[in-house]
Amino acid sequence: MVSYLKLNSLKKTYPNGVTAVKDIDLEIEKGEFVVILGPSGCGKTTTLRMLAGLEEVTNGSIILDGRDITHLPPRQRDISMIFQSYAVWPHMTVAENIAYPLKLRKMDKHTIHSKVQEVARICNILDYLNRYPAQLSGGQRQRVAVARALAVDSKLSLMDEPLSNLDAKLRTSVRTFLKEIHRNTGATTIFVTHDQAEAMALADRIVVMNEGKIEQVGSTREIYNQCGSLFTAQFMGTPPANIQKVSLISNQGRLIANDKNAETQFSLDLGNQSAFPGIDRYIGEEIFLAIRPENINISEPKGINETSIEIVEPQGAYTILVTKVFGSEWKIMLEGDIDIRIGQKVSLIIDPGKIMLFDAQSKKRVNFS
Amino acid sequence: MNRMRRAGFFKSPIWFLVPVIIYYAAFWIRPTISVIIESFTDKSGVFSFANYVRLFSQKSMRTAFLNTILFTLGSAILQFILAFALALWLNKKFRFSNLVLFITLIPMAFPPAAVGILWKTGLYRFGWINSFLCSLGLMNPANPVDWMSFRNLYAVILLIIIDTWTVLPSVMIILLAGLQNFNKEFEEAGWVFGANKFQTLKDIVFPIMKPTIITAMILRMIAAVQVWLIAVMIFGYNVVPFLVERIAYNVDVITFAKYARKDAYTISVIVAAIVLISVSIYLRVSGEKQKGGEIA
Amino acid sequence: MSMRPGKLWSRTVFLLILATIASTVILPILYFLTISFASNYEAYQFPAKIFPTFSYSAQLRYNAEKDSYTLLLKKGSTYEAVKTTQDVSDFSLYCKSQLNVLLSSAAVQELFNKAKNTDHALPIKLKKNFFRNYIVFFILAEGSMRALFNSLKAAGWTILISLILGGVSGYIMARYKFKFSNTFSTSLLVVRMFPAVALSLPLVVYIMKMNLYDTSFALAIVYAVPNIALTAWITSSIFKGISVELEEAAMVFGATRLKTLMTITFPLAFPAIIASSLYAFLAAWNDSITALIMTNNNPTLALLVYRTVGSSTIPNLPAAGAVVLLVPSLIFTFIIKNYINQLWGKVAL
Repeated sequence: MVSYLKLNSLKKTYPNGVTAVKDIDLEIEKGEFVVILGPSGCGKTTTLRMLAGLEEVTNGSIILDGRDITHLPPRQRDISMIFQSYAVWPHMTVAENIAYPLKLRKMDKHTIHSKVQEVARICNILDYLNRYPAQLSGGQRQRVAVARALAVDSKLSLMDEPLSNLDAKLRTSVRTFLKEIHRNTGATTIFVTHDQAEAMALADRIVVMNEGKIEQVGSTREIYNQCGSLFTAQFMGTPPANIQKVSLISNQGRLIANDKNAETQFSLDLGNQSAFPGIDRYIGEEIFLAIRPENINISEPKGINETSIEIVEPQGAYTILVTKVFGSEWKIMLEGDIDIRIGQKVSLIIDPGKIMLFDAQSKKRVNFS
Repeated sequence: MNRMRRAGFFKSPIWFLVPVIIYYAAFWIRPTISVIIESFTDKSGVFSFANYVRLFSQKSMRTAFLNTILFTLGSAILQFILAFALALWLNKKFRFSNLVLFITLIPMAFPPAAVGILWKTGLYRFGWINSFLCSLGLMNPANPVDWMSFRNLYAVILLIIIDTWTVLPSVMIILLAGLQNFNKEFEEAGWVFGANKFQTLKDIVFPIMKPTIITAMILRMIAAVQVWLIAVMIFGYNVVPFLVERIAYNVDVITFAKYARKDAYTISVIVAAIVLISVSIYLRVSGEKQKGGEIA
Repeated sequence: MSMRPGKLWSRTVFLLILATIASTVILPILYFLTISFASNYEAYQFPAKIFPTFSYSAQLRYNAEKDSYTLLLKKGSTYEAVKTTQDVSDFSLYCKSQLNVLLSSAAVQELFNKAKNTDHALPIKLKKNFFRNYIVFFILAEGSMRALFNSLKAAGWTILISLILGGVSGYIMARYKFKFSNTFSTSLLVVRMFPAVALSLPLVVYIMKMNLYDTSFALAIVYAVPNIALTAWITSSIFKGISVELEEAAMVFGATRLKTLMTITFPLAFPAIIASSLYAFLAAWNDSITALIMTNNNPTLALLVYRTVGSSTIPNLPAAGAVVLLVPSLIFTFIIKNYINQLWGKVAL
């Protein structure tokens, strides 16, 4: 089956020698909502701009619906875009902003008018049609940008961090709004962001990028739980995963993690070695250990994995406990309101299935459940 | 405001503005009023329009007025087109754009007196313009053109060209600053949504740049209305009259003529009036900015 | 490496535009500079040279019949006779005044002797005293140095008045909103654009009454009128950019308002102060019309250069004066250009 959008070995090198995007291969189905996620400077925006035709492609190709658009100017690609700064033209009214792309496509006045009304109704900006952007708030301007992109029935919809400039509350409501629109229109969408919570909420699939390369592609669950690399494990999750470089030893069939510096005498019992197939060659070696706060539970001290709770942060729906493991701060996330005192001794309970181990050199995942 | 009220009226910072206000009262309000009054009174101190009537009945004055308008409009149009094109070009930031910018700015640094000499040495029959054209083979050394013999419209056009050489960088730099502060995403949105380069320029860049353009052009026109030194240095007095050239003529050459002083005053009032009209047009147009929306 | 034809075409057009701009700006300036170094003789030559020369290729021929010496200068491929004389000091004077060549009487006599002993013409190379025009204009001609100092004095006073009155206004406009602040700033705008001509004429009368006619200070008073407004506008832009909280922090930690202004606000506003000073300097340095109206025997350099053009028939000396007039202007304009983006980028006027 031929995919709708295909990126082949896409590469971008700037004249000053910096390579922002190094060999991206990606296949996207029609109607998918794909989020490209990564920290600043990872190349996600550059990739999006290459898709838009706003950056020249140094190497590689982009095929959209069977057509090679790699070197075509933006206006010949049949795309729409929501910019980070919204780029709502200040000298045109809201209605004129939405109508302009339609005018360029030589639609007749009646069609334009009804289309403007339609998208304005969907985006809830009917009241502002005759106003100028300067008279609107940031959130309203953002909706104008969405309406403008919506009005154009394009093959590919691109969004460059459209929510970053909104305040937290608006961000979540617009997030839902965008998902609703996608559900109704089924437009193939590429959405770029650095906010992993946003990515997880919106995406059909997430593409995690780091330093110009794709780290991992997968569904939200896959990216969150089946982290293929240390980077993904570090990047995803709030609060972030607890990560530690440890050395592994085997003791009576149990896999034990020891502090690599042997400064503290702490040992973490990870569970039965049989739960970690293929781990043998790492016994006696150093390895990266990652466990998410929500995957750690506590019980009364039972002699294994004993620590004391140093800080308690009640968050209403859940509680965060901070403790010291291997001399570093580890966080534990428990549901509900937990009655616990500072200094209280507990035993950490960890599900081996939720432990992630990464090779110390390649940083790639070595245990899979 | 609250700060002021708390500190008490006499400690209010407004009092620091008093010296400036006094300065302007003495050296701007008073002279301006006296100039206006002088222009509207005849030699015996009676209110009359005699000065204006006398001036406009002189052919040289009418020519001066016409020449000034022609020069101002002509140079404004030419300079706008060239400066905008140049600014768009330089905005692309190609490899040596800084060096090119530097070179383009040099004429702006020339004082008018130096410009006058620069071009005078070029324009006379054996000057460097003809030398250059001869070395290119475009002119016969035995029969060089006497540029300074140009008159009327041709002379004004020559002056517009010389003025453009000097002044183009200062217009361009204002437009360039405006372009550099222009949010690139406005343009990119245009490209994404279907506009080609020309349409983007016409429908997006140009309208958003309007306030900057108007600012630059008004400033330019105000300076253009006051042209005189170039005309006098190249052609001498009385050959190609301009408004301020007439003033200089009355002050420097015919200083003790009967109406020299009155004429000089009256012409200054006319020049000041033209400038003030331009400024108020500017203020009205830039007030449109509120309606047009601010640059995000 | 083969480029796509479209790229080759645009590269050519680009270079063409570049060449046109460079030559339009540089060629006239080169000619102009060369003229400023040209001797009287060279100034009469047509076509004019684009680069200055440092010496003349010449011949000195002894005429036995008249016991005279003829100086011939190389022109193209032939030699042109320019001076014939028997007298050593006559020859020396000619060289000095027409050729910018300084030869003592003894040196001339030596040349004469050599020429006498040569069959045809003695080939000689006469070295030009390269900066002679500048020396003549500034040291030998009357009033040039004084005019230069007048310009500097006028500029200095203008800067002082503009900074003090304008800077204070700018600060107040930035920090305080009072009832007629809008009127105040609009009127400053009007003043900035007002033609100086209309002011200088009536002011001459007052200046005369105050016994300040023909002084740099009087000029500065007129120059300062638009410059105070410009300085106020520049400094108020900068001060608005300097957060009030920086000053408030200083005052919370014990500084008086004056100390705060001096140690915190002033240093942060330094670029604005420099930019305003440079604009004020250029206004005073470049002006001719106000100087024309308000001075008589103490002209500024710009006015002097303007006057010299009228009085001399060849342009080489005035050109030298113009080049000196030009140099500070060039330097300061280039310093300012870095601030223009700051000034014009954000505010529309």
